[in-house]
Amino acid sequence: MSEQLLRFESVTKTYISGESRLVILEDLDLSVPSGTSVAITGKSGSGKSTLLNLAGGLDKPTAGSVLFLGRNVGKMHDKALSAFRNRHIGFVFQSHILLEDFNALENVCVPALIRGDGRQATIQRATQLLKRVGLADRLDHRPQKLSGGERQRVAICRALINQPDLIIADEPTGSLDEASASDIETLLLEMVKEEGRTLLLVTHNPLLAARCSNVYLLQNRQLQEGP
Amino acid sequence: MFTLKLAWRYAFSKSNRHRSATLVIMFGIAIGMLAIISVLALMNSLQTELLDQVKAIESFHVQVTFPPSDSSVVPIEDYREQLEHIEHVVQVFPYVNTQVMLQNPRADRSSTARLRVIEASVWETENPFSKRTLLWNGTIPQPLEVAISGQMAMKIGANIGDTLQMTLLGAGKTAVLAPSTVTLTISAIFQTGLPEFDNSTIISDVTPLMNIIGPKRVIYGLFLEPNVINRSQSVVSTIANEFPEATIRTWQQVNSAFYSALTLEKVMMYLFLLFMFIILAVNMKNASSRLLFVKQRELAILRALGSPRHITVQVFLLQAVIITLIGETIGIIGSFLLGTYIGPILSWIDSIQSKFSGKSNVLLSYPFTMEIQTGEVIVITCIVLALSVGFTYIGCRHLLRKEPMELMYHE
Repeated sequence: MSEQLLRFESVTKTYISGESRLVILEDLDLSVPSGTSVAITGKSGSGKSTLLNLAGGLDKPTAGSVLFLGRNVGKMHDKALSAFRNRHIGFVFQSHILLEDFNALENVCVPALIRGDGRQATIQRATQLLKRVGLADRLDHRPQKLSGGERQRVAICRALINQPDLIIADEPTGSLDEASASDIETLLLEMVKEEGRTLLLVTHNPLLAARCSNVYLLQNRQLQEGP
Repeated sequence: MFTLKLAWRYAFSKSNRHRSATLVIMFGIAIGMLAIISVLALMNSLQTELLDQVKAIESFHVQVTFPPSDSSVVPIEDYREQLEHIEHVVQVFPYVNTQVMLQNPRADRSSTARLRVIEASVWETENPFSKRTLLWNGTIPQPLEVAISGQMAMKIGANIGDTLQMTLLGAGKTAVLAPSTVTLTISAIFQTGLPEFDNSTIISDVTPLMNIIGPKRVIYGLFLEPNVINRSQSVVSTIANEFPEATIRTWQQVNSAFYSALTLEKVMMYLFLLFMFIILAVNMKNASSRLLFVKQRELAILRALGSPRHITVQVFLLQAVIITLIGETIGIIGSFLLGTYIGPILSWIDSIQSKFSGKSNVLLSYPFTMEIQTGEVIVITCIVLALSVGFTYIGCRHLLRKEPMELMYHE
């Protein structure tokens, strides 16, 4: 039996706006074993992104616990939480947000530089990753000069640079055309496998979900084993 | 290092849409620094110049007076010799100031004046008085000769070689003071640069006027060594010990009202210019807030990638520091250049304006100098930096309260 990397224990997330109270997740449980790939599917607005944000320490649960290697993420202070995100989590967002003022290589280096890694070693590793995703000739290009697919490749490299335990991908191909999306999906799954990482993925694409080890459907604020 | 790089890129990157705002703020700071340092340096220079003139011509560095003695013989030379032997005292000149009525029979004009009776050696030796009192025509006044200023010469229609009738009040036999008329010849025209002094004062040799006025009103004017001019307490103490009956006044005490007015004027100007920087700082705060607004998603990414909350704030504070320091450096260099070339610059501006107006401007042709004080520059630099960092922090403090996902979906 694999080690449980991430566990949601009776997690509830509620947003309060004025006098209205919106329950997004309720009493939700989830286990993500180390080295697996988990896909979350569901309708828009069902709370998939909220679930990912809780898993990545970008948000805190209203009730229940999010445990990462046994540590309660929701109880961490800002400094510890930042260090946790930096060392253990790699994010790939739908809109492939990169730092506009940095080129592709520098964007990939950012998490390692935040961690305090040496400049030369970081550049070397970032270059290797970018070569691996076919961007060897785009190292000094700024995001504005890259296509959507290329930016998402940079984002994947950035998510992997610190060799995190968990890669969180929120509809990573949602803003790409079909051909690019297929390339990126394959690349993401391959690289996660090569690097021996765990993947927690939100997608509307049933084909992509089908390529993951476990699939869950988020519906009525609860997770159900997917098809 | 990474934070610094990020701050630099946010401020000056070509892809940054707010680079022009950064440059405007930077040059605003530079011009502000240039203005504040230049104005203060000009005021320092004018103040020093005015005070130097006043010290040299009007009040000396220290004035000593002795109470009237019962004896009719006042030991002027004895006092002078003893005062000259006091440490740090360079020269001593006994003199008397008294009001007189001047009449020029040739032009049939008259005027009141202040007569300064002082021995001719004050012109002949090297001292602050002879350095600043320019005899631009004629010779040093000898017994029964007088030097008058150009203004006075115009006022009474006199010229060198003319004789003047001077009525003064001297020591009388039956009355304490009795009017006495003396005929003097104008030997020289002088100019000091102190209009008040030039308009009112005529200068003559001691003989024989001191005997007419009476030696009891003698003031001993002391010139000190340069290093003790502004800190003359030790000299004052020594004189007070040797002459307990003497009244001693430093140049600061004699000119206290004038000195205070100059200082007050400087402080007011300092405050006025500081307001300018507060306005600039408020602009910096707004610019930072604006920059923060458009960078929120990037900041969310930085937070997601593991950058702690305080680091993201540091980026903006560093950016403010970089912009301010560059602006300040440009301003300081500019003010030093202006200080070096103020004469040619004003002269050039004057030459241009004279082409239109047909005459030279009094202010632009004045020989301004600038005295930049390092201490003042350091204080101004620190205040501006503190204002800039403080206001930038106010501008981005709400960032401290937001979670990454709030930043991410801010639109």
